[in-house]
Amino acid sequence: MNLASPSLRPGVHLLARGLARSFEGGLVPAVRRADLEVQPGEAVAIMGPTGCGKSTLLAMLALLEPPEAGELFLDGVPAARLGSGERLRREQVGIVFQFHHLLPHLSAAENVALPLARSALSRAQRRERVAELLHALGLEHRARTLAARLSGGERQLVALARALVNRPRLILADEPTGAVDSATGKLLLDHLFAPRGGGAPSIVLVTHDPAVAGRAHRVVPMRDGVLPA
Amino acid sequence: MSPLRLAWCNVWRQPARSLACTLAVGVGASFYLLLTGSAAAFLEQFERMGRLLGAELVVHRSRATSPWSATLTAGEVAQLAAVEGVRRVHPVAIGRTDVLGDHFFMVFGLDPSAAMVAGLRQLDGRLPPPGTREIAVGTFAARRLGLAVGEAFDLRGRRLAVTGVYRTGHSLLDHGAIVPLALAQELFNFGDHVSFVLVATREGVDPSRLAEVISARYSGLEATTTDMWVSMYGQFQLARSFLRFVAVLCLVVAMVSVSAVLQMALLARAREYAILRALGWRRAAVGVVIVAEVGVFAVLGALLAPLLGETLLLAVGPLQAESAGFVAPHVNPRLVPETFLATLAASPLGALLPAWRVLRLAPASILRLP
Repeated sequence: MNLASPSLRPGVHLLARGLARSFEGGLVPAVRRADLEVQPGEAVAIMGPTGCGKSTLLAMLALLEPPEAGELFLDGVPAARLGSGERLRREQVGIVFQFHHLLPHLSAAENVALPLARSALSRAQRRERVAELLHALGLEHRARTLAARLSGGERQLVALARALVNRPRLILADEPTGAVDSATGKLLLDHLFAPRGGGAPSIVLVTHDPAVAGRAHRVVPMRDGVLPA
Repeated sequence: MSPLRLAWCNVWRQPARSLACTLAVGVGASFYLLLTGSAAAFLEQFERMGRLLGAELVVHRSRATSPWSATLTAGEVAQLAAVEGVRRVHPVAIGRTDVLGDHFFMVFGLDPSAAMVAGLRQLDGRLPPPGTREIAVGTFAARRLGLAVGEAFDLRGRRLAVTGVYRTGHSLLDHGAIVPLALAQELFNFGDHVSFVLVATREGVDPSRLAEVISARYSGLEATTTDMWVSMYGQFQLARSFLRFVAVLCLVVAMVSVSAVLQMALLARAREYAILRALGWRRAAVGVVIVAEVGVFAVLGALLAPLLGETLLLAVGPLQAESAGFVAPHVNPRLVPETFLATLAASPLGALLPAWRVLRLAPASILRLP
């Protein structure tokens, strides 16, 4: 089943040049140099071993982590002009974290609805969109279940629904199948890469699993904090 | 989901955490209620005494520091009785002594004819007449010391016969005793001195005007209307200043208490706030969630404060024996609205620092942790 309604928004053109980020005052370099270009609607998988800086790069692309060096452009607009990126994340970006990061005391439906807090949609439209997504993921019967009571796989599917609910133009997924069984992983990837009429979001997927990476249009390797152009 | 709806879910669906926060705020508020209540009760003890005196004027030695320093001579009392406009004078001698751990057992030396006696309600027996070695005890003192009419009471080395039990509604008097004036002077080695003189004025005489006349005529004496009496003593002015300081301190303690609790509660939830920020929630929206939750805890805590205050009093009740009759900690209903408002004001102020700290945290640095 196609995920929700067709998105009419084309994907983002993303361009990163020489992004770098370190921690502990420069003592722990996480990303030494990352160059990446993602065309609108393109799905790119970044592959590399654990600790090579993939998640930090993803956080920089989401404007959650400010780069120490380099430039980032989204649709040709420098990220520096996008402020803290809250509006961008709210309106254009969907993030799937490695550890679902749901609020445990909220229900599945409430978690999915979180990115719609400032949406122009009516309450009924929001409910409908959330219900549509949960139905598509086979979770409609768990809509009112608290996140704390969901299984690990269900939580990750809810996290995916939350990332998709604002019909993002850019999806950033950090090891989305890393903590789920293979059947749930397949279901999750099927929906993540589901064709959407009218315009596909750009996807940047971080993984160390070649099978997962194989679902993307392009795979780029990352090693020791370096993502070559 | 709106910030307010999320705040409601946070409070309602995590009852243990909400209860802990509410109790912490409530304990802070109850301390404020008890301490300010005790401070107010301390002053009320003396202010109410002015109303109990039953006379229009009080005359005491200028610059006297407390009511139980006997400094007026018998000659001065006689002179006051002769002042035009004075209908009658009632000398009173007050002594303070230790009785079975009560360091403020007050002994009032006065004659049954004194105007002050009008405020007494005799529960048993009678007041001691002049010239006797008898004593009447306040109802709380009688209960505490196990005294009844007909029994003997050893006070400062003298054996006195208990002739009556009274109640005035005034803590100092009800925790103390009344003896004839001459006996009080003997017990406390006052000689012919008294602590102060109550003055009843003749009909048509303005008490304030008469007080000015007495103060002007006798340079060593100071006359005041009974409602202003307490404020004339230096010790009470000092006490009043100190109690104002205590009230401010209470507010600070309540704020620090609330702040510490909220700091722990908010920092423990940094991940939740980081998730919201990562999903595109503005700092202000997360701030609304925090403020709304703190507001709920503040209201519930403030409502709980009187109950918690009473519970605290029950718990520490045995420790009050030391100050029995002087300061009686209690939950003052008149201070409940003030406590409510103070808690509502203190809680958001106390939450400012932890909220600021939480909102400054970079979401990525928190979400990076497993």
